Amino acid sequence: MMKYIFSILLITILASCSNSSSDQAEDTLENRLAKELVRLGFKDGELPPLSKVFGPYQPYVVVDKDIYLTSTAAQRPDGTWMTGLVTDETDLDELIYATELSVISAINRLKYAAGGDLNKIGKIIHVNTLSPSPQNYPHLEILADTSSDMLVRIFGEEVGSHARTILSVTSLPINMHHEIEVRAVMK
Amino acid sequence: MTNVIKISVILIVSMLSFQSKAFAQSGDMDNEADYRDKMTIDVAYKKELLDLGFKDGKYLDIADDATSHHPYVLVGKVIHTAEVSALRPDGTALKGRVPTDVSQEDLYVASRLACVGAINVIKNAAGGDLSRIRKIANIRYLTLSEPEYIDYALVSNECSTLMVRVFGQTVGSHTRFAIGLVSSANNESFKLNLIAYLK
Repeated sequence: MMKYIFSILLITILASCSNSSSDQAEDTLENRLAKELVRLGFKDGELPPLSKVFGPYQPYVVVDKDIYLTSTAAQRPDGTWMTGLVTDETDLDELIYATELSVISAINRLKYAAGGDLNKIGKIIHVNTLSPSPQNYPHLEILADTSSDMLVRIFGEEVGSHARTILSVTSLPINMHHEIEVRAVMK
Repeated sequence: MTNVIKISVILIVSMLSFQSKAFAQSGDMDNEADYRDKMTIDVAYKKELLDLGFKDGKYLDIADDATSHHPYVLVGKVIHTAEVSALRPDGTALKGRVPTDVSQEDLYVASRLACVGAINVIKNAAGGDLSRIRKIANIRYLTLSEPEYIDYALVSNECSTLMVRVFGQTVGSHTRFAIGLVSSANNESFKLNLIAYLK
């Protein structure tokens, strides 16, 4: 009997050791996301609290395995929104930052839609890039690539790669600077 | 000893399920029990139609005469609608750009008109029985606008609240996006399309 208890204890200790020692090195979805969050200025690499939506609609809808997200805008780590039309004079780095923040908002909603575990996301199906940019704006492709690359970096090629659309719109609700719309499916 | 193991397993499982419940609450469609029967939905829909001036609360008969596209496509249980125009009871549509040609108030009406039009489309897809609609998943609002115009949310709200008035919160609440168009077919001011699920 004692032998039995001892062996269980040993297994649990070993299991917890192997977990904690490989945490830093391990290439998990959570670690990859935390790295991106720290890079973008989110303290401790934690996703921000899910912001409330502005009207009579849902941030996400899940029907069976299909996940629909309301388009997500760029919310800075301090909770403020990036607003204003895109012009030819807009700083491209700042616009890329807005794109990355929109992706973070989308991932935040995906996490809730998947019941708190991003590993349950089976596939990012479609990403719609919405930019209130002037006619003949030359950088739309870069913006779409930014969000596409980021999703693949975080979710990996198999889950994160997706179909996409780039739309130049006249303007966005509440004067948002950039939005993306994501559709995904659960495992 | 086995009892101890059993209890700890039960504890862990219950903790895990509690955690997932806490996450699922805000968006879980099955949590709220306000499913409506056919009559309640039909009455609510008819009221919206009457408010908009449709005679006897009946939507227009629109011929599906295009060969390459249709008002909706049904794939399994998923309904994808085409763009729905904001048709008035006389069959005409609001035309022009906001805010130069049409006003915010014009768009509020257009939003409701397109909304009842979209409900008519999914009603046809559901074989005439709106209680067969399981969920409005996503609505895309398209407005012909100038860049300085930003009040899309208020216009979209007109349709978003109408959906909830007709179908109830559980079935009718949805995700959405709203964008401004540079140009639109026939110069129409407002359109929408949606994705819905049948039961």
